[in-house]
Amino acid sequence: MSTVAAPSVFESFNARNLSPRQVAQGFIPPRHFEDLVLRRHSLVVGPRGSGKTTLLKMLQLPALAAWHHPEADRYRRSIDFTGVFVPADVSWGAQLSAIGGRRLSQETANVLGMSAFTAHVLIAVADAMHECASGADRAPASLSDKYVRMSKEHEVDLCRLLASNWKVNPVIPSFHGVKLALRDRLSEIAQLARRMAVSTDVDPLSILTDFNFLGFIESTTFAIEAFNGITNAPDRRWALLFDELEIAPAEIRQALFGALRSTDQRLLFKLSISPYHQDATVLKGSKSAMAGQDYQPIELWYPRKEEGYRFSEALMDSMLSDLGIEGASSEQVFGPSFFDGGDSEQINKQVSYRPGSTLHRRFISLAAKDPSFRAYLARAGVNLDEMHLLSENQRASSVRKGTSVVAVRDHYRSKPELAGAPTRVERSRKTPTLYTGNRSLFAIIEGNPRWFIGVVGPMLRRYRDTGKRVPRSEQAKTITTATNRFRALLRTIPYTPASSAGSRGLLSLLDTMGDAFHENLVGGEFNPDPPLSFIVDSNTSRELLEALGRALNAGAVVLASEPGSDALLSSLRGKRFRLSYMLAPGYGLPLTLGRPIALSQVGDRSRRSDSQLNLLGDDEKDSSN
Amino acid sequence: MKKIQVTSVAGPPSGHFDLIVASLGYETRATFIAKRYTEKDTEGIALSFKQRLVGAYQANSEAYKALGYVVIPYDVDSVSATLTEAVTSVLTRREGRSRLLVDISSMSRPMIATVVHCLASMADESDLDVTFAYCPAKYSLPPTARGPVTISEPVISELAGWSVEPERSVAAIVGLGFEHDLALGAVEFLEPAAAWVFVPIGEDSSFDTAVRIANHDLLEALQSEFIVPYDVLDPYGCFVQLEALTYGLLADRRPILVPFGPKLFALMCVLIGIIHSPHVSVWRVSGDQSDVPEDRVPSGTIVSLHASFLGQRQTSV
Repeated sequence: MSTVAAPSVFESFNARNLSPRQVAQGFIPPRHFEDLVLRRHSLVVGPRGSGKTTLLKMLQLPALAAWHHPEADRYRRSIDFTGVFVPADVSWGAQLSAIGGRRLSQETANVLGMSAFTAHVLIAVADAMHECASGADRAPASLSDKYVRMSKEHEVDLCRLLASNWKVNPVIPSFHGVKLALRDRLSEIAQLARRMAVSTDVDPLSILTDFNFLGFIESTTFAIEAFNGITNAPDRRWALLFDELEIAPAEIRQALFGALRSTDQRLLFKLSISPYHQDATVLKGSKSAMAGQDYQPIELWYPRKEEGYRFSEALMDSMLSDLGIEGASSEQVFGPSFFDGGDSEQINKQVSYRPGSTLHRRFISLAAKDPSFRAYLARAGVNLDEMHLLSENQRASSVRKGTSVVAVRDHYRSKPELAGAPTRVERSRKTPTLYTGNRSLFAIIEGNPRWFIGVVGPMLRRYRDTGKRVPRSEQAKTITTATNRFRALLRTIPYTPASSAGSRGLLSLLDTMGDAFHENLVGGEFNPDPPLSFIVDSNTSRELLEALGRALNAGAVVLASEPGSDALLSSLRGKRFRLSYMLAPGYGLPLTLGRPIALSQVGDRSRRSDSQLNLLGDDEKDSSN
Repeated sequence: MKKIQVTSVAGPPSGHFDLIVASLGYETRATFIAKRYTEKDTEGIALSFKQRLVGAYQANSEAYKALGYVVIPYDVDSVSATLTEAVTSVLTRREGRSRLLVDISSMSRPMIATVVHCLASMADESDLDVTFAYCPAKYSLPPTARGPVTISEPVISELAGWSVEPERSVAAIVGLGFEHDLALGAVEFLEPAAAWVFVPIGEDSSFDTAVRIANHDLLEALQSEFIVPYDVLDPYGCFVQLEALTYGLLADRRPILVPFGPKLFALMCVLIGIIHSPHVSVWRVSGDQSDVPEDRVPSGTIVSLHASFLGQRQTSV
């Protein structure tokens, strides 16, 4: 039966479901990759879809061997460890947590869970060693030193050593045989759990085996010593690449955090995790691994959208090249953005402010319907027909910083009507074309590779097929679909509210904030620098903090911290965040960071009127099912 | 575990039942089937929800009392043992092959899973003929609510599944309901390599339309070969399709079944999860329970699915 990729506007580019060779196809190294390939422990931190899995998978030999890129050889030569990728997903995590149901003691469940995890790790180790020992023929010259040509006899010797230490009984002493034996152990663990769940008076110690008490780090260390010894490469280094630590049970996560303090140069740890975790306090203690010293934190988000543009442009070029198109710019494909796009060069240009320009027309339009904007211009001494004659400094201080606000305010404030008419345009479910254009698209996608490929990919194919710029209506429709899918995901993130005053899910919380920012920006007096970001202050409840943490991990809010701050957060208090630009079109917000205010000031605004419910639906609750 | 064989039975349940297992909750339809099929020597067990004791709960409680049913509180931690004991007690008083009727109409998905798992786990050698009955509700406006999701997990821990190849990609099979975009969100949450949706077509076209509207974005994104319509009034036909698809995926995927929509589809997912245990997971994604419950009035139609739970002696042949 055909198993075409998952139905998604984000398409199939979820690295979890791709082989290392598939991941390598079209891989564009982001700036973070330089840090990740260093010979040190790493902690890759980023929200969902930010590329954590891709980056770790790229450190495996098959991916490096299959990678074609101008920089590929340089990276291959610089990486001096062999990567062992250990995958994770929510289903696997749930299976580990559910082992034995509720009938096992927590202690026994932990032992079995850790045992299963150990089997999982050792399968990955055996797999990586197998590749290392047999894949030399596929390797480019720049990677040849990572491979060995292992004789059958050496493979048998090594596998016998592994089997002995790992307490498994392969039918055939080969890498394949060892992996099968480890899978047998996984099966046994489930049987043990079922047996103990049914016979609650059985002493677990009487039926658990030595395998169930193996430590995954010790077992891996033994394996690499054995491999290095047999291949006469005592200094060969290995790296355990653990993906999505937030899914793993807590004790596994804490064991891995602890491993970041390891000074054994033969075994590196490169971990990936979402930004917020309660047990990140493990990394804050006096005996904990220290960022910058024991491990390299690598943050996969862009507080300011401009920081992600270079990666986005490079990724787009690569995707166009795959389609047989060379030399097309993002502006050719999508057109310029109606927002300034943060392109300071463009917005600095005198021509952008000349009478008749897009910016000028927008300023004129807003001035015609917004008395507070006219008052602002008067106070600033700005004549709209002479903006282009201002010096750069004058333009910067009085005009430039407000261009995004002008764009949004102009769109959402209706023309001057007769007295009593509404002053605001009702927001609809559709994305306005205001948010289309190259830089706006890049901003909305937040430099998130999964979003980028899924959202931009289909539009690039359309460009290839028609040879024409992608219509703005098409871009707007694609953004709407992407936003809806993101909102659907946000809605499924479990959030158990504590308040008895009614439930507020994660999405409802975000909607409240987005609406509040929009109301202030569009409805209030004109302000060129309105609040669009928030700082989590001390008045924030524990439940709200948890919800924000989940929002951060999902990519719905973005940490707007200064460089050098903690990458992994155990507490959000005092930190500054903004809403993801993926949500901005739905809320009618500009694509700018904006001024911060205290979260408690964003507050709990009154419910929107029915007429404004078209965009986001109502606030009533589901019935139970 | 007993071996489960699902067979086709046309029309509503018929004949005499030794034991009826039903639920006691706030829905009016909770006692509809019990009232129709309880006979003089039929014994009954009603699993009582412990929360939301509103609506028709009191009337249903009195109805079960009048029918002589044993009421067992549905406590997640202890209900399996209690239910097993109660069923065993009833069946040991009967001679020959026992006939059970399980009314899933007002059961929650975890309750359905618990009951089925209990029956399959009974260690004795007896065979059970189990008819699962479902009474669709009369159409009412679907909830406009898009409230918070509070649960995204295996429906019961016994159906979390277990894979010896966890590196395999996940394939999701999702039954659609009329909770807006919930199926879409579930697919996004699970991040499968591939996904199929089963779309219910019922006796009331209003339901069908509501389901399509609520899942518009997901249906738009899917190619037609991944959209499987099924007739709510033909559960066996749906079961065959669903089981065949799941079985085919076992070769190289980890199937996860997520049943939104009609309870019969949830039942089928649970049966398949147990038949192919531990290689198949069955999940639930559900919302907040603090809202006002909506009543479900019986439509009058009863649909059934028949399964034989075969004692362990037969599985060793």
